[in-house]
Amino acid sequence: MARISLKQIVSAQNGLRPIVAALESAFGSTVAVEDSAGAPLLGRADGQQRFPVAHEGKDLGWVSGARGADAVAALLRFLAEKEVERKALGSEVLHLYREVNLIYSFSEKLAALLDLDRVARLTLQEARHLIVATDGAILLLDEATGALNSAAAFGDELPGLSGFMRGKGIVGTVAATGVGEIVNDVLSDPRRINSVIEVRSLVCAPLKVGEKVIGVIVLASTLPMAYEARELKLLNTLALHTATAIENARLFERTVQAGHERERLLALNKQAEVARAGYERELELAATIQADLFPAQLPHLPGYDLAARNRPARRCGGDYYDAIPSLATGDAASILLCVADVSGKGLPASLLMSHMQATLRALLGRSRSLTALVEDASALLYGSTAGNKYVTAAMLDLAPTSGLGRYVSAGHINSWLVDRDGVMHALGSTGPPLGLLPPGLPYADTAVSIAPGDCLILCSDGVTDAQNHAEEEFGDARLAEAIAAVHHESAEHIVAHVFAAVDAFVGSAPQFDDITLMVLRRDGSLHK
Amino acid sequence: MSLKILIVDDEVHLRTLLHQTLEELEDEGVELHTATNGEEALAAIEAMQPNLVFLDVMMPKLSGFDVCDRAKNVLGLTNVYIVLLTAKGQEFDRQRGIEVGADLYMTKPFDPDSLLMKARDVLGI
Repeated sequence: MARISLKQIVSAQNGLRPIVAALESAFGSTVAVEDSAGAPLLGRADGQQRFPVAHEGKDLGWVSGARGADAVAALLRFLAEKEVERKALGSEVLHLYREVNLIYSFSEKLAALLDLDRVARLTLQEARHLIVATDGAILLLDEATGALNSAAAFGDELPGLSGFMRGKGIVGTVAATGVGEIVNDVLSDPRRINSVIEVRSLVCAPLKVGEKVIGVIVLASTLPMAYEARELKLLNTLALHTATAIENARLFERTVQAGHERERLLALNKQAEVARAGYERELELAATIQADLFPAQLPHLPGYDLAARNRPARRCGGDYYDAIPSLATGDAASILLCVADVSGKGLPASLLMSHMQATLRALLGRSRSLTALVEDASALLYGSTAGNKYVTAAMLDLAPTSGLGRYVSAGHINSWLVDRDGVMHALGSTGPPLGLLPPGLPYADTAVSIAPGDCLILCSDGVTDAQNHAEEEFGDARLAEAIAAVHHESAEHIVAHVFAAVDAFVGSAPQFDDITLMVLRRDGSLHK
Repeated sequence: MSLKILIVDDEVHLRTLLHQTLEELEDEGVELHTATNGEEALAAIEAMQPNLVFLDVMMPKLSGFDVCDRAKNVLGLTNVYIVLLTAKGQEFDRQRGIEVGADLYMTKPFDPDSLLMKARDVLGI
């Protein structure tokens, strides 16, 4: 009950004095108003009649005078009643204003929070200002399991509790239906499932984003309470703000995580870039080393013209050629010509190619014949490489002065002896690829005689297998055609011509295999 | 002499709210007075020299700035503690507030508890 005093009424009502004056004039008498303690508030009395001004049994003061004092007293009683009503209304308005203010400042504070825990704690803190409760909790729904997990709680009963499930119990029902509830007698509610909780009354609102329930907020009391629609309405209002803030916090969390993930990937990418750059440098180095394995300059053979070219498909290749002075035939000026093709491509093939080169050079001069050298090389490669690694090679051990030599092909494609008339004679394989089969298999060899004006063509399958966009292969026929056109020209010219013919055939199709060509031409007295 | 507070706002609901907020001070002998515009406020300030004035800034004719300026700088009533009330979100001219000699400014919607606390603080009760 709001306190009122006659003094306040007399001083607050500016219109009172003229009315009293009019009454005094009408009654022809003056009146005096004094408070309950007898202190004068208004006028001076000219009579002794006193009338009490009381409200709800309590004396507020007195009006005295000869005539009309009763009318003034009635007027003051009426004003006192109105004042009480005004105060009650004002009090209610102020109460609502406080609520609006709290919600206003609550949503302002929420907007500044991007952390889910703090959002939940702030919500409970604000809810306690608005709703009388001993306990409270915010439970968030795990969509996958239906569990309602505590995000924040206060009081003696609700903190530390777990096992809330959507659809079970009172709060579970709110989570399932999305409709808030007031339960003022929890103990007799048939849905009550947790008998250890001493909560007597509760009010529970869903946390909803659009139509989706993401959790509940519950305020409860261990003493019986008479929660009303007002409390539920307030809680619903808070829940609305909180649900949005929780969604924002989760979204922010995901955004932050995505940012971290992106940074991590960028760092990994950078690492990969660095690693790739390192690998590139090493590959470049490997390519340089491999290029150095090819003879820097082919040996000069009096009466002969020798040329060779290699073009790897990738940075490092698996083809190899060499021309090494040889003592195998007992001829001091004899020479070993070799074109080899290692299985596979790229860096792994280039490693095997360097192995092949070292093996060949190591064995040279230690083997009594070309076939023995090839057999030894095969055995060594077989013993030192994996079963699926092998090398095909075409080798000619030539005594230049006589033009006689021995030819061995370890599973290599055909080599060609082109006579001075341009007729091509194929030199076929005389044994299996090096390193493919266990040692013990003897290699055969073929006697070769190179007459003046003849050409010997050694190549890798990169020449004949070169493909154009229609996936047609260059083949033996085109190779023969290219050679026939220039067989009387210099070895260098023939090499250049064959490469040009292959390039013209292939066009812009990618090179998928290493290409190697070696041409030995014996000077001919019948040179055109 | 009793302590006096003058509430000045041209909007009736804000006057009512301010009055209601401060009403418990009446029990402690504080007189609450109201004025509905700047001219009325200035007349009341001059006549009763209240201890504390809650003065709305945005009022037609005579603004809260003008009332404060005349009270403090023209009438020389430096003992009257004047709190300017400004609407939230509105740009408040702090410089002007300092020039006219306001003691404090608060934003509306105001927080009833801190308003009441401020009043008690100023009145020393």
